Amino acid sequence: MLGRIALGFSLAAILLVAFTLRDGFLVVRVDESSPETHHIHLILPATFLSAGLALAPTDKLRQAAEKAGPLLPAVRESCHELERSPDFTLVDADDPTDRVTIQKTGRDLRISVLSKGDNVFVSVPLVTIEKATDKLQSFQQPL
Amino acid sequence: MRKHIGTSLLAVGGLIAALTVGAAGAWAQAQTQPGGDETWLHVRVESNQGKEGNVRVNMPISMAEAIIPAIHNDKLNNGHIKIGDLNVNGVDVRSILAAVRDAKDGEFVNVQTEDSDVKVSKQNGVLIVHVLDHDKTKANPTQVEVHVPMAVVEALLSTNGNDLDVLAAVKALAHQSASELVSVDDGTEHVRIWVDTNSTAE
Repeated sequence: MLGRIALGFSLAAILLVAFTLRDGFLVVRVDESSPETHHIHLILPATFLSAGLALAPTDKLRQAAEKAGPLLPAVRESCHELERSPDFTLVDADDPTDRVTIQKTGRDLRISVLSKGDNVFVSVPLVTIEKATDKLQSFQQPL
Repeated sequence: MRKHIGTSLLAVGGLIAALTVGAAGAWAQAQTQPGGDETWLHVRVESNQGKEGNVRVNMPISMAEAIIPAIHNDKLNNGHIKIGDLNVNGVDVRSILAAVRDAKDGEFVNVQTEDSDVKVSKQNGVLIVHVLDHDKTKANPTQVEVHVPMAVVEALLSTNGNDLDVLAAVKALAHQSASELVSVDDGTEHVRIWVDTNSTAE
């Protein structure tokens, strides 16, 4: 009996490891220095995000799909092409106080915003964005 | 006891299999990355005084080729931009460009007024438009240089109706060698659009 329970846990752990390796990690870092100091550092397996979308209320997803509208196919194609591209900086914009960069690094899209001492960094696996757009597109009416 | 050993072996084997699958996926993904022969589109906006900031955008042409057909709105649909009429004031733009394509290299238009100079010429299969706006009410003159390969112009006008085939133009652009397409300098900002095989805007 104990062996079967151990086998069950082991298989669940193996599946979790396999899905995590496949989907990568969502990374969010927010460092604020003014008016108060805040540090939020979050690293989540992207699989959780996909699972969260599967459990999200359908009426909210339908509303989001309607708002995103015609952009979704373009976003999906962008992610698909980015996966095939070598690492590069898509956008790099700066002025004397702020800097925004959007980079394709490995299998992730990385967005970094530095603004007057505040830093925000988000790294999202491209496959996760593709899955999210697929999910939202499934709520759209066919053209 | 033997059962526990079997279970443990199975778990370890499964873990190794999962790690192998993950590593193989990452390796396969790395192998699908194309080499350095990709054409890249670059846009750079630079502030001359360094006060307004700078913008650099780099994009593989293949990405633009994939995205454009996926955009469907009023203006851009299936890679075509709808425009009002290619017949402007009785002048058929399509016919003029066909005549320019077939003509020998040279200067076709040269208009000089008190406020501006406009020149249109063709050199080595490239349509060149030069505009210099030296309106005295402005602090600095504005200079615009547009270099469009005729192959791109032809692709843009390859449709029969009153629309421009942006997708065909982008595909034609992918086959061009490194060249500057647009340069605009108004004294405070300098905008450049060019293509080459570098992934960075250096």
